[in-house]
Amino acid sequence: MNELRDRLQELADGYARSTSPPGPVAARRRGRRRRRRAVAGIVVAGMLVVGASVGLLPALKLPRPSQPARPTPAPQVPQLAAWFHATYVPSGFQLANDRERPVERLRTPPIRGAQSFRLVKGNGEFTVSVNPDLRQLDVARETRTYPSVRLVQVRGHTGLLFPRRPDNFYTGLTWEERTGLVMQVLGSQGVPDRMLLDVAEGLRIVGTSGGKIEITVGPRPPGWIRVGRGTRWPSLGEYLTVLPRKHEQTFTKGRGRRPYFVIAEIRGQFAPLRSADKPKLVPETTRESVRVHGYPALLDHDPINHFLEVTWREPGGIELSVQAAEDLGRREVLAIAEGLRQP
Amino acid sequence: MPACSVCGLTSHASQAGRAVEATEDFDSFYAAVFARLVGQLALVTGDPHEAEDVVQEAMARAAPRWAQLRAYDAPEAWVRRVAFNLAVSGHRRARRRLAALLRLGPPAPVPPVSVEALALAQALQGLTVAHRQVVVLHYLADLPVQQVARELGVPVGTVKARLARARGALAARLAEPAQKGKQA
Repeated sequence: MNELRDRLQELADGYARSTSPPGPVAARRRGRRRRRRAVAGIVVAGMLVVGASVGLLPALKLPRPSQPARPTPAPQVPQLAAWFHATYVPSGFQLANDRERPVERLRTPPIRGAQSFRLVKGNGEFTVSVNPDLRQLDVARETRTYPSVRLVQVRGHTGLLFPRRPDNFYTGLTWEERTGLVMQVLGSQGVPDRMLLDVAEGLRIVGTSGGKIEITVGPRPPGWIRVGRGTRWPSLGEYLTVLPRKHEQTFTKGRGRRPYFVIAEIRGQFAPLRSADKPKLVPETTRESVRVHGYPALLDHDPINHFLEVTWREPGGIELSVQAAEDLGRREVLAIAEGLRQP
Repeated sequence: MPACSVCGLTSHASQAGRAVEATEDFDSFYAAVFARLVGQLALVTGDPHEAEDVVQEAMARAAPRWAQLRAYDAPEAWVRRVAFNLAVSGHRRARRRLAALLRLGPPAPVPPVSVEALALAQALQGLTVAHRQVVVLHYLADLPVQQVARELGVPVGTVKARLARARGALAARLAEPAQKGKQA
């Protein structure tokens, strides 16, 4: 150890001998310069804060000139309620699947207080919940927005029913129980319409003093059990709302074969499409701005999952997208998108 | 107590006197520790010019607060700690190197040292900065393990472990050239 100490000392002494100290005066000067710079920085920052405050004050204090009240815009609806269809399909492709379904809320927590029930033998599931995203139900607008909706009477209110059809396994019933409370009964796996209506009529909905809503589902036919009671079983209905709805058409070159492409359409999307609206799930995704039907669109390429997707919004709150395997190519994807029309 | 020649206040005069005393005190402190600290920091950084610059920067930070630092038991430990921190930060190191290069021009050649010293310097550069720090503080600055731990802000056990690993690594590295020489 002493040898190591001695050798270190020798080396350090060698370095120390070779140094030519700039001197204490230089150190003091450098210190003063540092302090001056720090003080100047604080002064400049303070002046900026004061300047910003002074600039904001008039805006806060001065009375704003009265502006004429803008007329409330009429509810936007699509000119035609029909779903879009492809007029251009690359050769060899055929329609494999055409279905309507609610939009998934995958990036949000499950709907609080949702109650799901499942058929023990056979398929069938329904979920009763309060729509967490809607405070009022514009029945007139929704009937002009969706081609598949039917008006029904529920608990003394006009409600919307999305009935069971071959392309709609996600049946749904929604109504405004009272101001600010939009209820929904969502069926999946082909629950019959009659059952949704019966469940809705049998509900007991009570508002508690804390502002919460207590929902009690009435008696059900035999064979239906409550899902997730005392367990952590997930239920699909906890992640879905009856509105808004999505229409999807899948095209392939034969059953289960790639490449494929999917045309998706979501109604009720009114704000202009921004770059942040479609979050990039994969960091490697590249994004490009293009135009489809004259509207601004986002063209994404996900090299990890090997797909291309173009998304844009049409007037009337319609969001359209074409997602395709990357082998199809950018040109074909944009051609499919340009070829989409309402019949 | 002498009165101030400008305002006549004795307290003012004593303050001015204390300032002069502090300045002289800092100068003697600087003269006493600068070369020693450069020697220690050069073993950590592996570059005497960079060591000189970080020690000078630490001194520049000590100068405005010298009145406070001189009351410490070991102002040298404070300056060394600041210099160590400056030497460790990679971004600041790069910026400082550039500033030093602009200010001082290309570094002057370092006088040659013995072959053994050169081998030791190379072996030291094979250690991590943390290991070099404990070796310098314990073996060169002669600080006990507890004080090394306090100065670096790490537990005593960590210092002991680093010392053991650093010793092992140094022994292995210093043995390698000797073995090669024997084989040749």
